[in-house]
Amino acid sequence: MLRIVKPKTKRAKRELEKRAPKLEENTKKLLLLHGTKVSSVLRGVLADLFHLRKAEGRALKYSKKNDGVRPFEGGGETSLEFLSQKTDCSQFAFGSHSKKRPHNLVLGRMFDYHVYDMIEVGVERYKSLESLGGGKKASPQPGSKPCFAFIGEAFEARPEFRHLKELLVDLFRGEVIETLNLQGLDRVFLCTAAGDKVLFRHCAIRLKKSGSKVPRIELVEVGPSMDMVIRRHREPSDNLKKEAMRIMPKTTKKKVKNVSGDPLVGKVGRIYMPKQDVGEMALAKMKGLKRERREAAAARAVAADSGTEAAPSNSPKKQRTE
Amino acid sequence: MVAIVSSVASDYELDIGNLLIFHGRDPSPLSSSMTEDAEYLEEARVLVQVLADVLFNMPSTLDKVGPPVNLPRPRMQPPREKLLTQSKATNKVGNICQNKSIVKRKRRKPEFDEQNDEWWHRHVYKHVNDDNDIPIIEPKASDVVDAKGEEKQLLQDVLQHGYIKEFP
Repeated sequence: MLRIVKPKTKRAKRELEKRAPKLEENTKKLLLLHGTKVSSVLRGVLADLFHLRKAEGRALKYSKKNDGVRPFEGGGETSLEFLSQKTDCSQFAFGSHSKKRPHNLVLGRMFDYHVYDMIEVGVERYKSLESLGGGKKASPQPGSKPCFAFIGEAFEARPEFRHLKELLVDLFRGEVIETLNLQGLDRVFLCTAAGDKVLFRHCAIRLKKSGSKVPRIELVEVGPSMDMVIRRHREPSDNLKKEAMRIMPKTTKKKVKNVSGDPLVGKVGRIYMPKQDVGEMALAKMKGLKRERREAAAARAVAADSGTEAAPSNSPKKQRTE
Repeated sequence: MVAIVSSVASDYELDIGNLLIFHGRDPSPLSSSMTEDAEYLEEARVLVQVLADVLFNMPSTLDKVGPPVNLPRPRMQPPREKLLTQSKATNKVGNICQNKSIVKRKRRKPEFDEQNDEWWHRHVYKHVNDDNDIPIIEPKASDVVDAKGEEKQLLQDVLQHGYIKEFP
């Protein structure tokens, strides 16, 4: 188990926050591993997968032999889970070669650093990226959003094919975007279900002029291309699936009242004033009007006195004011 | 989900958010494997053309680089990679507390006195649940004195007269 490290620097804290669970998650990272024995075919496959996913650091390739990793076997997943936690990778591609399972590729996903689901395919008729000329002219831009085309009834009818379809889409789809620039449509992953195999191809899209607004599509095969024979697969348990597919209920944003906006005026707010009786209110003293206030008070006193008494009391006051 | 019925009367399933198009019909089987790839490629090209038709016909704004288009939310949602709410990892102390069923309870400064039904102090003289605070009970004349010797005399005096007549 990895010990829980408390960050000592702000940078470390930021890195940990990047890895923390969030509502809207980061794009998944792919971990590519070599097993005990790896054939040259598989080596090429893993290298090509790495090439496809390495944009923005979303893939990690460990080329050293990993004897401890044995997916589909009881204790063989602990090593995988440890590596996944260490590298923060939630997808893995494990390649191994044996007599019983030649050119074996295991593609899988993790949930909470435990194996969620995986599928084992055998690779046949592999053509690498380089051999198909995926290097130069026709090659799509690295990190561009791909299209997917799935052909075949099996992708709907058979569970292992359906599983592979989900996995492949999750593997290659990249970032989830809201706006797409249509000129940037430059790659497509094609999967055809033919018999028991899935023919996996990767093509670059060329947009050619056509008479209408919609351009004519031309596909140029760039690597990698392989035929996948589905061997074993493990789907997630119902509970795990339910947990992993959970979406937080969208909190409706609190309606902001009494605020309106205008590009001309800017942000305008409304304030509701209570009824104010200025005569009754305790206002600030105005020192400048002290003399006037005194005179007014005196005049008022005079008016009151003249109604009741004679003048004598008035004269001293009058002298004072003069 | 948008299902488009093409002229060939086969239906496509589109997931625009993922830029995915799915054709539920099997590819036509061929005799030789040489032209197989080319045939499948052509079939895929048709599919991608259908997808492009839909995308390019979506409402878009004008932009220098190219027409940007707003994609809807993807239909196929993959599973999350981490838990939505992560519980705090229990440490050594936490484990010990859990084993002993120690419950963390926030102490209030005044404590509730059940007898008097009020909030009273916890520590000072005459605090809540004070064992030393024995209520004074007035003795009645009919009370039986259960004591010996001098003590008995004293208590009897108190009972009869209400005070101690003579101190030992």
